[in-house]
Amino acid sequence: MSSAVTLGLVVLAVFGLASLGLSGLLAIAWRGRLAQLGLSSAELLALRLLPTGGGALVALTVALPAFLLYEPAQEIEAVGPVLLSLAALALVTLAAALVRAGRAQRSAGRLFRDCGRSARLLLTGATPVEVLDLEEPIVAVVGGWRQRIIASRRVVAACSDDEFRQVIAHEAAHVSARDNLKLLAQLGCPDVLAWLPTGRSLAARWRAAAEREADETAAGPDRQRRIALAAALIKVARLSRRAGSDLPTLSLSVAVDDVAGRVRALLEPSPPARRPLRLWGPVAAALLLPALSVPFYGLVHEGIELLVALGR
Amino acid sequence: MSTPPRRPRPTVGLALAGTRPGLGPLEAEVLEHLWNRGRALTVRHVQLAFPALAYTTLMTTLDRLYRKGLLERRRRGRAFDYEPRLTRAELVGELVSGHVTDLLAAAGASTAVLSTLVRAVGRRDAALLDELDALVQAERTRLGRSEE
Repeated sequence: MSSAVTLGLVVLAVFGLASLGLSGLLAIAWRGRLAQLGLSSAELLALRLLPTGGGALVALTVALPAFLLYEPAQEIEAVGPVLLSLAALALVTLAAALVRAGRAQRSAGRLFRDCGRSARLLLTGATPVEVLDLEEPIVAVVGGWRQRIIASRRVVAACSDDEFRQVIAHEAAHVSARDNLKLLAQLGCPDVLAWLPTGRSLAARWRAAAEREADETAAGPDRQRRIALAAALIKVARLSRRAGSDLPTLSLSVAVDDVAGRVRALLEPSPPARRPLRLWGPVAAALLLPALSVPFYGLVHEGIELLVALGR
Repeated sequence: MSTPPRRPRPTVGLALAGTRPGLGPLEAEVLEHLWNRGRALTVRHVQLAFPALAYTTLMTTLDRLYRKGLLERRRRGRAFDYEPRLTRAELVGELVSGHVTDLLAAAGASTAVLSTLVRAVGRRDAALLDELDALVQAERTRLGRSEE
């Protein structure tokens, strides 16, 4: 096997191993105390991206330079089954992530395009909203990079002007937070977390946190706006409940507890204070890892050699 | 007595051609032509707009559009009159609705790029929504009083 192929396999295998290890650690921590912490959407997103980001960081900034520096040039080396299996795992997770993200982007793109043709444009303040004759009582942001806010006529009819303005402010908050791109990034994570309950739980928690943060951004501390948004949430939830009887596929995504939590949070006498992100530790560790690992390149290379030879 | 042919409804996955997956380019052109003319046309009439195409090609195309549920047809002598079952806007509306349904179904499994205000709510939750509504009304009253 040529050294270039071995290098490729090593990088893939180290990525697979690191991402698998980080996914496992995250799953254990999540089942322990992590899930009970009140994490922000940014923190939850960082956790969701950790296995992929960490795996890529270890493979590209630690394993790759160590292998290039210490591996004798032109050495032809047979590769063992463990390294091959790890590289195959990395390739499978990569392919699955590409399929997931591609499928989501394609279906959202189709909707994005069709909405543009059939919608009636409604200007609510500075935010253009496309109103559609839809069966579903939906208000949503569609699209990945380019985004549209769509609303079904049923929702527009059900809400008062004030309530609808808050609904659109909520969706505009999603647009400015680029939440759909963050969702796409999560779908495109090539790791095993996507297949584990922890991954699904993290995704659901991220969605819930992003919704609450969009509520806070939209309504701010103004009591009237908070009440209007709470009332709109209930109205849309009622419409969804009726539509749900005709759409059994939707019955999985029940979120009334979430609606209840959001309404109660909006009606709280004082809005929750924003706390600083707890991301500095992991970010600093990620930035320092390449530099800190330099003295250990020899050791890392020995580890790689062991991995290459394992089971041979 | 012959029974009238069954009229299928458009399938959810259908969309218009080019940027309209589900219809071939000729099917989309013929449909556009029927929309533009705004009345029922026979194959012979449609052929006037597509002189390069054989009568049988257009007959097959119209029949295919009818079977996809996009056209109505009525017998007129030995021929059929064809007209669109839906306006352009209605058809696109149905397609978008189909996409939304698909996306919402997928959103349950976190596979769609779609942020929705409220995700579907179960039937059992009516009482909770009433309770929340009462909270909102109470808060409105309290705010009204404090403003007075």
